[in-house]
Amino acid sequence: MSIYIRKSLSQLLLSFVSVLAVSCSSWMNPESVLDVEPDVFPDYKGVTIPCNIAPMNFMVEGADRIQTVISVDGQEKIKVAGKDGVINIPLKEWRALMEHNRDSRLEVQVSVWTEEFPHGATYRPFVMNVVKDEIDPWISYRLIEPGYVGWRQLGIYQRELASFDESAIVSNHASNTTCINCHNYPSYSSESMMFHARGANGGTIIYTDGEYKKVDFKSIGPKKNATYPAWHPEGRFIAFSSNTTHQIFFAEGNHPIEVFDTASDLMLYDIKTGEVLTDPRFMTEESLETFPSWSPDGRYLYFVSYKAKSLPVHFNPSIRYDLYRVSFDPMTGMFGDEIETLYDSSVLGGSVSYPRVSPDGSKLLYTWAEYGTFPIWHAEAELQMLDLETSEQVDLSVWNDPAEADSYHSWSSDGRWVIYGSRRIDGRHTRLYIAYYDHEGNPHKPFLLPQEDPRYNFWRLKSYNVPEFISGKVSLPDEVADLFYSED
Amino acid sequence: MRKYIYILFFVFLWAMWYFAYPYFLIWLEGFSCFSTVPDFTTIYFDLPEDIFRYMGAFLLQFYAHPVIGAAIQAMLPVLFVLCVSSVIRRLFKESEGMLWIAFAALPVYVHYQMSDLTLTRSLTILFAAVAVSLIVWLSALAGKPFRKVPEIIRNRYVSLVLLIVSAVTTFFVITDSGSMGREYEDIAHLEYLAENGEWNEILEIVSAQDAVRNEYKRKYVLLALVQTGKLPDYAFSYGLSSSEDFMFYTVQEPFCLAFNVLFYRSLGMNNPAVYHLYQQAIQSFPGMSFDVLRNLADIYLEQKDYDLARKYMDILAHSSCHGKWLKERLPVLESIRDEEPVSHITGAPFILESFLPDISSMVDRYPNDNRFSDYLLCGVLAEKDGNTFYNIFNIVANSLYSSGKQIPVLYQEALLLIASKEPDILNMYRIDEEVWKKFSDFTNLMSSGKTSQAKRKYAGTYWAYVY
Repeated sequence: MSIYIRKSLSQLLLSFVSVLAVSCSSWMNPESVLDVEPDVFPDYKGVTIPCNIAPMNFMVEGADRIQTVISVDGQEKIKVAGKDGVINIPLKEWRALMEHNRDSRLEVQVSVWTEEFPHGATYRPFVMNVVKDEIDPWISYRLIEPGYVGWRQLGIYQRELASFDESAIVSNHASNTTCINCHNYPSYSSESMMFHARGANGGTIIYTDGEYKKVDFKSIGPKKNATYPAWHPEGRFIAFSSNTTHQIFFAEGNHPIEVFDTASDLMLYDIKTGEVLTDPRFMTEESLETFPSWSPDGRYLYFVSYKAKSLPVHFNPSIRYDLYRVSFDPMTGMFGDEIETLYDSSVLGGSVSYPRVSPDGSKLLYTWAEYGTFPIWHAEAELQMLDLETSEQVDLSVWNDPAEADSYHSWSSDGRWVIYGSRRIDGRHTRLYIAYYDHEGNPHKPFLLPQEDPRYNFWRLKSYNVPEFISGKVSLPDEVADLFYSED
Repeated sequence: MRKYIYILFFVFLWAMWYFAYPYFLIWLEGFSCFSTVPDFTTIYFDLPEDIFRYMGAFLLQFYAHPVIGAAIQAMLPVLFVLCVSSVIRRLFKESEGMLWIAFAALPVYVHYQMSDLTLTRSLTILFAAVAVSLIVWLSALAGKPFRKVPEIIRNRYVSLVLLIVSAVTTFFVITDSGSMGREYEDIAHLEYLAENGEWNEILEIVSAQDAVRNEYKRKYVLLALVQTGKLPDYAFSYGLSSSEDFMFYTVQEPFCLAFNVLFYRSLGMNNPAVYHLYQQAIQSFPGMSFDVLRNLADIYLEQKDYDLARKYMDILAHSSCHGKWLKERLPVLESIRDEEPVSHITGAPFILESFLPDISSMVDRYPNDNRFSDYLLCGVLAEKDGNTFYNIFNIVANSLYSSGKQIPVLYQEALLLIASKEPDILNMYRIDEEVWKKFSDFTNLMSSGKTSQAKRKYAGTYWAYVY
């Protein structure tokens, strides 16, 4: 039985129970009125949401009974009551509300019954802004424990954004020693997908339009392992970095882990011919190129690089990565002569990771950290955005948490939404946030990926990793798992 | 009569498990994990394929109380025997004397139970037996004829003798000193004592010979010696032969990782403790264990990290047997709600490498903590590196032994040995008369060629270790 079916059954049961609970309990009138907004989790106050998002369920900690009224233009649209301070908005009612209010302000009035207010208190309503810019229907991500060396269950999962449906695209259930990572898609397509399976029978699995194959990069071309991928938007090429990665552990302090590379190069895989193409400029020991990423038109490859001061490379906090781009001809598979520097860390400070260009090609979003190449373990890591037309920085302070890491990010296909990982809830487990980037170029307050029960965010032991928007649900043939099955 | 035999066997098995394996049962609970939070049925367990694992995880929660754990361990084989017995009754006429056939399978079932850490195998066999007995029962309803069996097979006296044989065999299977269960019980007992800080109890139950022979016991004893301040007196008596004796490096088994966690937690080194906890978690079937969750919760309570402590406590609250455990900690959790997390750090952060460099860094940071200096000095002595010992001792002595505090025996022994090259030692540090006498006797024996006698007479000394 798939996770999807099991979750659906449990959702059905939960919905039934909640409907029963609400319908059985009469609507109550709170005695007190408070002139403050409620302290809700997740913090959905003032967020901007797409009209096709799942119900924005929330909770008020410490509350026993909770009631909420969602209104638009002063008209009550949805009334929900809940227990344990949790509001679970019925999916059908929510969808109807979104459908008819695609560009509106939702006013959410919350009343709670707590120890402090045993006869109930109503808070000042907070607002959620609904915009008509739809978000891509699905996202995919890897779920993995937030440390350290080994793993048991891990897999790449997908989630429908208009509901709470989550299912595994591929997992290592059959062979727990296999590590699955670095999933990627060409131009948001759910018809093609690639990922690495590491382990005894591992390789890079490439699934394109119903056909699948396993590629062993250590046996072809320069015989280097393939690491971070970037699938060319036209589908024929996949750029890879080939990284020699290490982990170190700090004995004390709140920065327990550092991940770093001692070598990394760039290479290009031609799906059509099965060849690995290399450019000598990106294969040197002295410079460590990584995190390749294509411009939406496929005419530029963006990447970051560290110019090693001495060889061999060892960990040190002065490792800083610059941001570059090089032109690319998809007809020949050749890179242009000029390598442009877009971010010079020696001048601007910090280190750049994960460059991602907006679908209109005008903005470049990346993760900034003080040093290194693995920002999720850096509390200071934050998203930054470069305007490629003016070379100016866009202020993204509203997206970033000052205390904890904000890292891996992806643009939606229309460039209006960004999904990224953040450790702001507890400093350890990465959760996904979605933020609106409006037509005037203003970033809006992000919202935590809605869950059927907001407490899932606490109960989930795994971290979200590499969130990517996709156009639909991925269905890999069962045989794909056989490609990397191992009894070891 | 039959039902009394079943009850008798249940009591017999319960007593065997309860008295022979109380700590193993407790350990099984810590090694398992069950929670009603959604990910446990969607990600950690792949239902319905993992249904028996899931049921096993549910039952194992109750093993925290050995009385109940032993009852479940006893109940499973008795239920299995009941199923087999039911099949026999449906298949054969005059089956009263054939009960022994059902009990004949008991030692086999128990044998498999001994190494079944998730109860998966036990439950699979049991439910297979239930299914077979149901099929036979339905066949019997359909009027299938009974089969006759020879008199000897259903002879009551033969049956009684074979029942006794079954019970005796089961007894030997359970108490087999070479069994996995026995080995696990011993280590689980030490783990239990260490978790509760009962260091002297560890030193009482593990003999020096045991420590020398058994790597697990040696590590626990050395940890207990450090915690009680006795390492520099008895390290070599308990078989210290390398700095790698203090913790596990290459073996990635549950007991090893749990020990490493205890090691780091006892030293207040929470980062490496958390690192080892995550590795320990993947040794358990669902990829997480109660032991790991409890340790994580306690570490973050200690670090006043409200969000993380609450997370792990919340997950544990969705199991069946953590009410008391949570009740004890909820006030602590509440008290740190508005506090900033504390991450102990003294000096520049250092990268974990291997035992001696790591401990050396900790000695730098915590010069007044004997445990670090004892680990370092004894570790260096274990490597027979007198020069390094002397260099470190000169530094450590300033903070630990400058006030006239007595120098531990092993250090005195080492200093005496080094004094032949560094005569100033004897002016700088006070060597007890008793140690002098022993050293004199030892060197006399050695110089007269009585090496074996010297080593035997002064077993446990640094001199005997070096030579």
